[in-house]
Amino acid sequence: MVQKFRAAQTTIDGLETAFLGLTGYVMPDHDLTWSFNNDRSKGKSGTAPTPPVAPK
Amino acid sequence: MPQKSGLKSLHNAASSNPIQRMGLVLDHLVAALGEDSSSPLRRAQILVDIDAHPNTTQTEVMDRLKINKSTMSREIDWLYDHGCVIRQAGQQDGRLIHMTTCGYSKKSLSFALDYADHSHKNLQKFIESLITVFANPKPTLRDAKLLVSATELGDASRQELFARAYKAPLTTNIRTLEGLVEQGLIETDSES
Repeated sequence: MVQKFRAAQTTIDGLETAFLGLTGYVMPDHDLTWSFNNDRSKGKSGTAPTPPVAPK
Repeated sequence: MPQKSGLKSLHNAASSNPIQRMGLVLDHLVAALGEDSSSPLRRAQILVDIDAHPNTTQTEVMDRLKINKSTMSREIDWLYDHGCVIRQAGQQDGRLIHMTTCGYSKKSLSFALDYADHSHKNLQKFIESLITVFANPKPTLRDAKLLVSATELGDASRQELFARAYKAPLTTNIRTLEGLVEQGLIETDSES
């Protein structure tokens, strides 16, 4: 059986806070209207795609 | 043809997943630091601060980020040696060295800022929040990327996690993963 790894809940909470900081969102008390867990199936982080290049 | 800003908006819109966005921001920060994913998050924070305050001095950065002088000098030397910042003597006081981001660092930071509503303050909050997640006092961008990947994947094998991690020798990735497990940031089943 293959050993599996997963993020701890404290990690998920910390990353949620980090993401809110990134967006500049000021979270009201107890307003956790979304969760990373709900978004897991939507995509993959992977490597950044090639940034767009301005036309010369 | 869409303008540059239009292309960036489309690029951002295609990356609407919060975890995906964080992964991309980390990728751009790594690019801004010369593709050195072993860079501490604190170094990224210093670079973002200099980008936010062109022609700033080392003392000013130290005051804003509350970083001690020895760490600061070491990190500034690293950033200068890797072409991330330029240093110029002050016109009025030659002893004052002014720093500004340049070249690939400035360009990569601009891509990272796309995800932060073009706000250096937001980008700093993001990095600062990431640093507080770790028990380790000097977390690296590689650590952060592995956490983001583990959060996105849910239950994942070591190979699946390493496929998302920054390129490094296997021993480096194993050591990074073990460190995160020891800190309680990643949980694992017992091998059977």
